[in-house]
Amino acid sequence: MSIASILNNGIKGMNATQMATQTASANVSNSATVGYTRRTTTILPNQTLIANSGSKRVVEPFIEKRLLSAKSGSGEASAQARAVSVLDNVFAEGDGSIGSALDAFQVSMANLGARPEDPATRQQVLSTASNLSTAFGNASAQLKTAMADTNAAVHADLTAVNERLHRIASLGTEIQKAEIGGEEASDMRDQRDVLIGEVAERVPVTVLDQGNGQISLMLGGSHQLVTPDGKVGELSTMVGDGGNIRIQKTVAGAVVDVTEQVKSGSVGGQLKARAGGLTEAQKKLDQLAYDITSAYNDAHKAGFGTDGVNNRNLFAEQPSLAGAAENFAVSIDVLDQPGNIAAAASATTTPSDNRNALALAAVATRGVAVGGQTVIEALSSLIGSSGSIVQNALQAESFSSGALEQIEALHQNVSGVSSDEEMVEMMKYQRAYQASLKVISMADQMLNDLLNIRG
Amino acid sequence: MRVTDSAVFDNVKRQVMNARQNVLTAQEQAGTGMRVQKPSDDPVAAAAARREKSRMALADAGVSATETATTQLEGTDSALNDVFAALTSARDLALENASSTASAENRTAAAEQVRMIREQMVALGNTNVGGRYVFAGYRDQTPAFSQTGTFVGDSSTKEVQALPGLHVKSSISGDKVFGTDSPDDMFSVLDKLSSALDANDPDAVRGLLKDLDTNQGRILAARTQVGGMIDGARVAGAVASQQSYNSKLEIGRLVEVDEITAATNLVQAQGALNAALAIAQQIPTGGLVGGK
Repeated sequence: MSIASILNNGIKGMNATQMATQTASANVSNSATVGYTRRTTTILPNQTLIANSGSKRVVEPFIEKRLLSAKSGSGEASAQARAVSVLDNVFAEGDGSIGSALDAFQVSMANLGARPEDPATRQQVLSTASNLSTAFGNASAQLKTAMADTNAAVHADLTAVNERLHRIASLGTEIQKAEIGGEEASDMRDQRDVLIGEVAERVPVTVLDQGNGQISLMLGGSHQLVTPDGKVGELSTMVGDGGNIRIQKTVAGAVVDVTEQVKSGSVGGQLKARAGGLTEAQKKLDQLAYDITSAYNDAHKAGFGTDGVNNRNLFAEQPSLAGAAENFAVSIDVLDQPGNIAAAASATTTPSDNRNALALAAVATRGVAVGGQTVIEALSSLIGSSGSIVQNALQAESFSSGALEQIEALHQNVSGVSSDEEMVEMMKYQRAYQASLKVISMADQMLNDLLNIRG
Repeated sequence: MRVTDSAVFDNVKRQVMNARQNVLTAQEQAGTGMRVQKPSDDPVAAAAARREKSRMALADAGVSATETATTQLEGTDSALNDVFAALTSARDLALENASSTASAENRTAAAEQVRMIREQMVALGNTNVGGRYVFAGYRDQTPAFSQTGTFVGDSSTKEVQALPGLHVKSSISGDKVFGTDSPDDMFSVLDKLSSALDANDPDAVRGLLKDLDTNQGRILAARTQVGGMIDGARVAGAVASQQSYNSKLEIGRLVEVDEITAATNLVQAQGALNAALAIAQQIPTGGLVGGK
């Protein structure tokens, strides 16, 4: 033991507390920094390790893992809600909606039954039929655009993912270099976590810590997107069956289909919305247009126009079920020819014979649509199911963002900055610093006293 | 538990945003009076409202169709009334001139009157209401009878739709009214009457009284029938009108919001927003850091 070692202790104490205060002050000034993880400085006995270990990021790996999956879940739900919300526009009631166009058309048929001889009433049938065709066309076009939008959104998301994968890979290399050289790499680690979080919002990923600052970033647990040695597997799209987009990963020229792994994240949400709600609505809309065409055509062919001719179509024949809503149109047989509307049941009793007009009006109450439903019932079910799809998607979005907030709160509890806590820490270290100063001044006094003995 | 700065602010931010969203929704409802504006607001109600709107539209069309039918039938009834009166005059003439007391001059004058009645009958048979010859069946754009009294119309009974599946009769055929499908039809009986009067033949005139009675019977039967049709059309129209009214109420119940509820919701939502904003302002800004 020597007085010099007392002096030395004082200096080490000052260094250690200075370091700790620096950490606390960095925490305070970064309390609102995105992705900032609070650091702690642990002062070990004799203050020996402090210079080597520096400050440490406070993270709980289990929470980080849950945070990533919550981000994927939330990204999926909000992408899906955004994509399917078009259904609300397609099936909302109002002027130009399929519902009101169909009502007007069926009413025009009922009116035809009341005034078959009136040219204006016949013209009304043609006008409402044409409006119905416009309504179907608009609805179909809106759904088509929405599907194209999901493809574009997937493409944009993957571009963003790839860009981040490269930055994650290069950060990994730099972190490794820095930490081997004994430097502090907390900021780069924070930055990498932010990037990984941004990837997780788009595609589901997990992180495998390989030590030495290296990680594997895995897609759906089985496909490496970033390897520990900094290689990147880029994601891209290809068009699969039925125009649905598929996701593939390219590593060193080899292409793997990874669509099945992309179950969440905004990309997963877009894929689900497209293959699910949007495709379903399009199919049902096509079915409805197809059923309306054949039911009204069958009834119309049985009747006679004012020229005594029968066997005419009211709507253009549908070549196939797919695309029926888009192709829905007034038949060339009656287009601009109100007299050709087949209101009569006999060639000799036109134009006032309304028997076939009554038969056409009765189509409204016959089970001519899927499942023996009337046309209106089928549309009503379609409105109900579309509304439920949107409502469920909105609820899922709100639920998953709630879940994400909860996990973010947990994450904050561990890794976030509390100004009060840091202020207390700083006071504590300030006191310790003052004490160390006092130690030095006392040791100095002791040395001084010792030197004065002989004097 | 550690309460971190960003947790505090995130929490307040979420509360304020939620409260704002609720105010917006309440404002929309109060402003438009609609609770369901798009299917996702309430899928079940939106689907049910769609069906009710269709019912209402078709019921309204039925109301209009039965009104048209009622007008046609009332015109028919009024024509039948005139036909009966004219026929009664012809019968009176026949009765007066069937006795031997009437003179030949009387009978000649009566014959002239009967010929005028017959012309009037053809005109009544060709009664046109709203552009339709009411006794001509489906061929109602052309007269039901030729000038000679031959039925050239269509002998069907027309129907209109009051509600889907509910049809009412809206016409009676001139064929049945004037008996042109049988040998003792009104026009030939009147022809025979004027001939018998011209021929100054009281026995023949007397012999025609039975045929005139038969024709009067036909008109009375037709009037009863048409009266029934008018009742039928009115009842069906009332049913359609009631359906329309019920559907309208139902649509209101399904998709609209009453003003009191809307206003209350708005006040509540605004209160919640004010509270959330007040909390936001109460976040301690200083703490150990100092400041206010």
